[in-house]
Amino acid sequence: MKKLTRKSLDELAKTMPIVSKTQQNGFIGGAMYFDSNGNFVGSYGEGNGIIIAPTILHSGISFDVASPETVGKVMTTMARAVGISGNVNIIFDRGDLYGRAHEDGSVDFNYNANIMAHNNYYDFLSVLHHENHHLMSMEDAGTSQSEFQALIYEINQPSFQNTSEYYRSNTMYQYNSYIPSGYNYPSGNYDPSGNY
Amino acid sequence: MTQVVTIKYKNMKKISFIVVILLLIGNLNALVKAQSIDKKYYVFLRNAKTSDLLYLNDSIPYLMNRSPLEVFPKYKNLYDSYKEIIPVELKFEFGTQIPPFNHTTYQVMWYLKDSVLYLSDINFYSLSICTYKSVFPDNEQYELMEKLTKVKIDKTKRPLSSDPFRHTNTIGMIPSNWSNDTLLIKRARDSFEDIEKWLLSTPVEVLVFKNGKLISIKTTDTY
Repeated sequence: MKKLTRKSLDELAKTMPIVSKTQQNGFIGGAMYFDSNGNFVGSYGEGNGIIIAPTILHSGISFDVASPETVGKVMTTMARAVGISGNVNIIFDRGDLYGRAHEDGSVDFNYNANIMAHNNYYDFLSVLHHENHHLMSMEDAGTSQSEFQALIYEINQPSFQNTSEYYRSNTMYQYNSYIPSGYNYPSGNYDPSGNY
Repeated sequence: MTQVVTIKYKNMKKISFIVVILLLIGNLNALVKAQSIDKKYYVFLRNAKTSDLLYLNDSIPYLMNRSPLEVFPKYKNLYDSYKEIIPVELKFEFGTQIPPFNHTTYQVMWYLKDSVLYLSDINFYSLSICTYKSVFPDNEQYELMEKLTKVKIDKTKRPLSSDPFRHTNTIGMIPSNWSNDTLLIKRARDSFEDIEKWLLSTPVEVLVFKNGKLISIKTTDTY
C-alpha cells in the first residue's frame, strides 16, 4: 500500500490534473447568455455572470464591457421578466447610484454603477426588483417608508441570495439603517420617535 | 462508462449542494453582520433630514443632518413650476449619501471654504447631467436660489469642481449669510470603503455657524 505523505501546493500542482476554466464553470460557475438585441439565449452551468453572445456556444463578451445600447436591451428583457412595462433608460452617473424609478413607469439604470464590475446577473435583477416595487407603490413615492418597503421587497426575492457580497452587504446595511429598533438596542433606551 | 457519468453527476450534485449552502450562509452572514452592529452607529443616518452634502475641501463629502435652507419655509417647492423637476426613487450604495425623502427633488452641495459656508451646486434628481442644461440654459436655478435666500451669488468664488457628476456650477457661489445653525455632519462613505469600519469609526462632527461663518467645530463620540 502506498504511503500517504503531505505535499506542498507546488508539488501537487505538478502531479494533479489542471481543471480548465471551462470545466470550472461546469461545476461552480457559468453565465446567463443574452444576444446583442437583449434576447435571452440560454445559460451555461449555474453561474451568475452575464455574457453577450449569439448562442451559448460562443465565448462572447462580458456584460460589463458591452455597449450601453446592449446593456439597455438586456436590462429591458430582464425588466419585462420582473413585471416592469415602462422604458428602461441607460444613464451615466456616479458609481454609487444603481437605478431610478420615475412616476411615468420608466426606470433608469446607471451604466457606471459599481456593480457593473461584479457582473452578477442577480445584482441587476435585484435592482430591478427594487425599482419595480417603487413603480408598484407610487402612492408613497418620495418617503422613507417607500425606500424601506422596496428594500424589504428585493431582499425577500429568492434571487437575492445569489447577489454578490458587495451588493448584498450594501443592501443589508441600508435595510438595517431603516429599522426603527434592532437586536442590540437596549429596550430602555429605545424611543419610538427616533430620538435615541 | 455509465458508472463514471453517474459518479460525476453525483459529485456535481454534491458540489451544487455545497455551493447553495455557502450562498445561504453568506446571505445570513450579511444580515447578521449588518444587524449585530450596535444601533448607536445608525443614529445619525436615521435622523438625518436632508440629502444635501457638505464639502470641507474640494473632494471629501460629508452627510448632513439638515439643510441650511430649512429656515426658508418654501425651499422644497422652489422649483415646482418646472414640470421636469419631480421626485424620483433612487437606489444608492449605503452611506455614500442620504437617499432623498419627503418629496425632495434636489440636492445642494455646500462648500466650507475659508470658514465660510457657501452654496456651491444644485443637483436635480429627475434630471441627468446631460439634460439639466436644457431645463436651465441660463443657470436659472441659481437665480431662483438668490431670490429665496436674498443673497447674491459671489462670482469671485470658485465653486466645487472635483466631481463632474455633482459639480457643474461654474458661475460662483452663494454665501450662506443667513445661517446661524448648528449642523451635524458625518463623512460620507466611499463606495469601496469597508462598511463596518466606516460605521464604527466615523464620528459625528458639530459645526456652529454665525451669519454663515464657522465659529466652532467639534468631533463628538456619537455616530
